[in-house]
Amino acid sequence: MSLEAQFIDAIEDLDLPDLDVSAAVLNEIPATVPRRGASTGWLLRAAAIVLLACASLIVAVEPARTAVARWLGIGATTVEIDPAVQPDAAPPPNSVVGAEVDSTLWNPIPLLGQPISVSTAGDGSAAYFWAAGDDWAGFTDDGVGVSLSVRPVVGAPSLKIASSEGDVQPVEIGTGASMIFGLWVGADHLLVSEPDAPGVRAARVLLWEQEGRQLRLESNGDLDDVVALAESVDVARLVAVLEGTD
Amino acid sequence: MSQPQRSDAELVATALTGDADAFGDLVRRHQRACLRIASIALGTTEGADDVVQDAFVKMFRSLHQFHSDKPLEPWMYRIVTNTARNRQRSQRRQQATATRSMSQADSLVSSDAAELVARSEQHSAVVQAINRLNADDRLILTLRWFEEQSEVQIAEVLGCRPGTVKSRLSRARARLRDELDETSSKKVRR
Repeated sequence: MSLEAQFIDAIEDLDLPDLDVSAAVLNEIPATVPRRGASTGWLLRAAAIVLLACASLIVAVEPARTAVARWLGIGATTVEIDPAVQPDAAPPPNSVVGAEVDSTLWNPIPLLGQPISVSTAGDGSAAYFWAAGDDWAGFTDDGVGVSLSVRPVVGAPSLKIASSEGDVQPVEIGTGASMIFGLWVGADHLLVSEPDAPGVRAARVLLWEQEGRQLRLESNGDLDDVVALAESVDVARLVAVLEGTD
Repeated sequence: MSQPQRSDAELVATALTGDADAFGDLVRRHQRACLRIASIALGTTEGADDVVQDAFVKMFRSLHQFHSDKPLEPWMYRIVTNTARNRQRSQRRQQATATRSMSQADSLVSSDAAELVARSEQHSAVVQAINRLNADDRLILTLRWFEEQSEVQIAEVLGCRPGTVKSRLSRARARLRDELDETSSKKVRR
């Protein structure tokens, strides 16, 4: 008997409860189906929690996107849902080119090993890159590493356009009183950072705000792995390092 | 003469007109598969019914986003999987575990393992091997082998690239084989 057949045989024997949830489901849903743009769903609940960022949005929106129904965001980044978006049609992201990094430089995510590239700017912004390797179980086989960027909350606006509501979800980072909400864009999406720019494909990313900074952790790893990475970052120390006060 | 069964796409189209009964038909048609996916993703059948219920409510609210020219299952399984993972994450937080050990969540439940009927020694060995896999491995093998989803469809469920699915499948299959060999060798040593 093949391995596949044995597996199927075993899963068939999983003792699932014999139940019908249809009545409970129908009891919970409204009498009419919400249409695009209606005020329903977790997105709006999330929007109430996550900082809305439309006031500073100056990125031009193409006419085809004017029907976009809902958006939310963190800091200067706005996330829109537009089913017409086809991120795969955009050019692939640039691979990170390795560079010598001072080994004494403080590493915000030791779990990933030493970053291969670090760039900083005078305004307290920084970007760290790690190549895919064996240090972290969340690395996937596509050769794309992990990047962490940090910048002041007030910055140039950018727009992320995901093709499905299911690609975007609020997530909890941390526990208890220190828990904060972040936003996970769990699929390739379009990133528009300049007005009238066509947008480039961007990988899955976790966005959150902490210590007056906007942080972005880009990875093809699973959400659980990426959240664990985010929780491991000592953001207060990262800010102090970037401000030269550490 | 019995009425021909309506397709998923027809039921979705009818549900979008406000016919909740059509959505009820969809729930009844797919709830068992969703329950299986939720149990595999959670690592236990406990709470899987709540996950499935929540997932179907989310599906209903997002029904207008479903592309009826595509099969329903990948979209549905994705919502079930995400709901299960969110539930699992939330439960982990409630348990206030200081360490993020995956062992508790990922051990497919020794009690459930006991509930799996061991029809033969080999069957029992397979069950034990499956139970020692992590939840991600179990889920991807279940989607591919049991639910017969294509690699592209699994990529949609898991939110990753098809190439990643291929390599994860290969690793999961190898780990299952290793676990099975280990179980068998233990029995031989005994």
